[in-house]
Amino acid sequence: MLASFAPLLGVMKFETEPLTFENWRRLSWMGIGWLQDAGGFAMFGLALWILNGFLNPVNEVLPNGKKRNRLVGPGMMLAAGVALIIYLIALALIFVVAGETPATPRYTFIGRPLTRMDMALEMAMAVAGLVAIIGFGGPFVRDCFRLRWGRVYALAKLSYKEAVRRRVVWVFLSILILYLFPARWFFQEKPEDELKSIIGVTTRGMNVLLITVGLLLASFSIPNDIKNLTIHTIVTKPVERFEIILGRFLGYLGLVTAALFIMTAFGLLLINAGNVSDEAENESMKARVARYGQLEFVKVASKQKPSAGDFTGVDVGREDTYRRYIAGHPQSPQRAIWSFTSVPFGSDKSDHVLLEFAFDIYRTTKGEEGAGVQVTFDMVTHQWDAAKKIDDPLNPGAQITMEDAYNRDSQGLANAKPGDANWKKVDDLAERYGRYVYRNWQIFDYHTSSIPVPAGLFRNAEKGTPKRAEALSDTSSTSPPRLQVQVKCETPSQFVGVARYDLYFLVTEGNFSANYFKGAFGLWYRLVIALAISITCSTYLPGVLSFLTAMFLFIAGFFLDFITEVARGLSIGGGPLESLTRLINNNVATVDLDPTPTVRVFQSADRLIQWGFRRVLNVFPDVDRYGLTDYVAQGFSIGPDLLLLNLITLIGYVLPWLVAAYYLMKAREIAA
Amino acid sequence: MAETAVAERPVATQPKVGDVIVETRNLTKIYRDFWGRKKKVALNALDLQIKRGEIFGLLGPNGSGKTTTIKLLLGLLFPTSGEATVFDMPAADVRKNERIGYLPEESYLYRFLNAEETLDFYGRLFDMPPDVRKKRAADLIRLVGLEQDRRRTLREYSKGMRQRIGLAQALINDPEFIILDEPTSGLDPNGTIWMKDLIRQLRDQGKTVLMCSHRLDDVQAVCDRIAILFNGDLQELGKVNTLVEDAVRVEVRAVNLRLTDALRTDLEAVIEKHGGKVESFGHPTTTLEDLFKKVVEESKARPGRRWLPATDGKV
Repeated sequence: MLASFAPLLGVMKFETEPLTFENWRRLSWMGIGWLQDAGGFAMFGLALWILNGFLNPVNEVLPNGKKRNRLVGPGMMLAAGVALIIYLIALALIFVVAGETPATPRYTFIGRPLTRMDMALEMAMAVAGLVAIIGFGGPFVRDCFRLRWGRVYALAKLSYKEAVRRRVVWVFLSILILYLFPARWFFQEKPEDELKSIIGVTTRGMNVLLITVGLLLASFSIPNDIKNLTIHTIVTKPVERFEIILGRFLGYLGLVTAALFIMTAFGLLLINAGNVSDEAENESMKARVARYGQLEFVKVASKQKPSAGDFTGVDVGREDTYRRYIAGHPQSPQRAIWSFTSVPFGSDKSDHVLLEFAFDIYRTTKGEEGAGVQVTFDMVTHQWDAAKKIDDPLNPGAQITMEDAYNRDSQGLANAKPGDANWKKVDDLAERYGRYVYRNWQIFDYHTSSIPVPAGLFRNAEKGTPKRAEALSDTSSTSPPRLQVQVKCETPSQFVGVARYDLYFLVTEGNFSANYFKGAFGLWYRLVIALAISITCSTYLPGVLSFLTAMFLFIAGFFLDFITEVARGLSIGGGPLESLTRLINNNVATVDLDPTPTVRVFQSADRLIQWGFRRVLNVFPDVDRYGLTDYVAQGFSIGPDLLLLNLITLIGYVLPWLVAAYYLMKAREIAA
Repeated sequence: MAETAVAERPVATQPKVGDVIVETRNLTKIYRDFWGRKKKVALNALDLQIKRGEIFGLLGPNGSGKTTTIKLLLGLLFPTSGEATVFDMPAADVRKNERIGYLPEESYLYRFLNAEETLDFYGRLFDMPPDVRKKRAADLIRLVGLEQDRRRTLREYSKGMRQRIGLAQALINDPEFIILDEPTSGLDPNGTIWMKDLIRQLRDQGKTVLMCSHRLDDVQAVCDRIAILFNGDLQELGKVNTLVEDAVRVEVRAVNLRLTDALRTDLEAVIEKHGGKVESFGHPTTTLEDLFKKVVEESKARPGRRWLPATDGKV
């Protein structure tokens, strides 16, 4: 999930899917991907370690008089051998797949269609990776059982004391500057965005401050110990070397966690005590629990069911392609449709549920001053069939189409609100037919609005089993939808820009303060990453190099999407060298270059660079994933599943670093 | 000394008196540069045994391989070839450190901690229970004479005081085997005497001590056996008394006697009769250390005593 807050656009953007337990298929593929990536690194590490073990053996004499190499055991050798064999099989499969005639894909792997052979290759790589991980991680796990937490605690306490007595903690007070000078003094903004700015600026300040201090402390700790020779008095005690790493890591983590907690509490206090405008409070001082649907764009012919085609929304030429647009006109066939496989209704006794949305408007004419763009929301359940003939309740014996009956019965009930006399009728109607229409709602650019949806619609949606609609391309969802929300722009010559997360049902609202603290978890996850990288680097590199390496990797993590594009050859204008030639020769990025020998050499070199990039792609942390404070700023609740899944991905990233630190420290001659 | 603080010790490897505690076989350390090219042979095929209950000295000029040997035994360096075992365990095995105390050449301790915190920290590294840790720290602070300064951070300590607290941290686990790298470095004469006495006490308690020092008088005063290294090679190994014995010279000391011409003639006659030759006669001088010790003891016994110039103006 890349939840990057875009101040210009003012609303939240999720460029990749947030992780949820609902999508097990995606999670399992992520696990397989992790096995492949971490396994590749483990195999590389295994090869290096075995080489080191044979070049610099540490022997011990067994009771039978034989010598045994303590660095390389038989289990490690076996795992390395088995993994190597499976990797060779995978290599053979690569050639098979390359020579394969195009076959019908049977599976999809993170959006990529796969044939049976592709699938075999993926699995072979995952199994080989698993074996390599067992071989490489085995000694690490075994030694973890030898850890004495008393010693780890002593080292952690030492690190904490060191930072405190060296007065590092005073640096944290500089965060007060951000609180003393509110963002609104410096930035022009809509009143409703005030809280977003406050949270955005303060969390960015905390990010920079805590992460820089964390990186500095962790990068210099072990190198300084080695430089000052203080480590000699530690490693000559019965201390496992990994305990030193863990002690340092946990000590600094404790320190920055305490600082983070205090800063978060202080920030919350100031927000609650400050004069936040009512608009901002309504917009952001919430913890919305939202139910999202799947978005697709369709063109419908009048009186017909929507049909999925090649229409994927209009590209209005904006550089940011996150949103797609639908053209406005009363006769416009373009719709944005959100499909919900489950509906937000159950034990809640309320007679309505809010449908919230915030859209972008792209105007081709100036329009009427002060007026928004009109949008119609047409909500239908899986039981709704416009052309279906039903018994007419008003004319017994006669039959009438569902649409005609609905149109007739809903006369005079347009846009009723809860509390109105007509709301009960609207509710009954929605439950009877499985449809609710809200016409001509005025929307404004990125302004969050809501309309009440009668609970009867959800009761209708919950009944029965939805059939997989032939016309709708619902392949992306695991089950057919129970409810769909069709959005149509009514204002001529205007376009409405939408993205999946721009519209949702508001299930409930949580506590803002609790959510604010949950948001701090995202920063804490980032701190864990920063500390793990810097501690690992510091086991091998001098302090300055360790700091710079960790800083580089961490910052590169913010540009992971771009790096991934470059690595996969998807960047516009080609690879780095090709782009350079374009810059020098003033060539347009979208035009193919003449295949001169120079260009060909550069393109080949680019492919080599891309290959290299792909191998090390996972070394960069996906730090954007942990930008949870954006949820808080936008007033969305951070669910426990999101916290837990992010924690799992965090462990998946940090664990290989710690294993690397374990081996680097073990192999290091402290006194050399 | 307080009772042992380390409860868990591998019974199978518990040495008996006279057992070999340290053994090196063909122990070699070659320092290489980044490209793996040989830079220096720091230690060359060292074969050594240190037995329980002895004070063993490592001697040699700078760069002879003394500290390298100690670092190899402690697992701070890995051997290029050969083996080193301590308590029958490979030198790289951290479990052996349960029974070892190490005082580095300089006292490399955390200067932001005070003496109590320092000993508490190192005690925790041995997983000592809090009450044992506390008692042991108090005993050791008293032993090294830092009771008055136990709450001062080490950055305020003099070099000698740091050496003392360094020794205390080396003894925190009541070790069986103590490695002392230049133990008298930074100590005043009083401190040096105290340190030497302490080393002898440790030996008397059945502990084994390995020390290396540039101060040959210190080594001679306390060591039972020594090894002399030069350029990484073992040059001499044996008991101090045997090694320093001059087998072709005889020294006779007598009391209540002044050297007179008659005495000199008589002695020459006796020596020549037995085939020897007199090299010199004279009154022996005491060592500066003995003189210092005497002066300090007298000063303690008679407060206010001070040296005054002789009345004849001679100094």
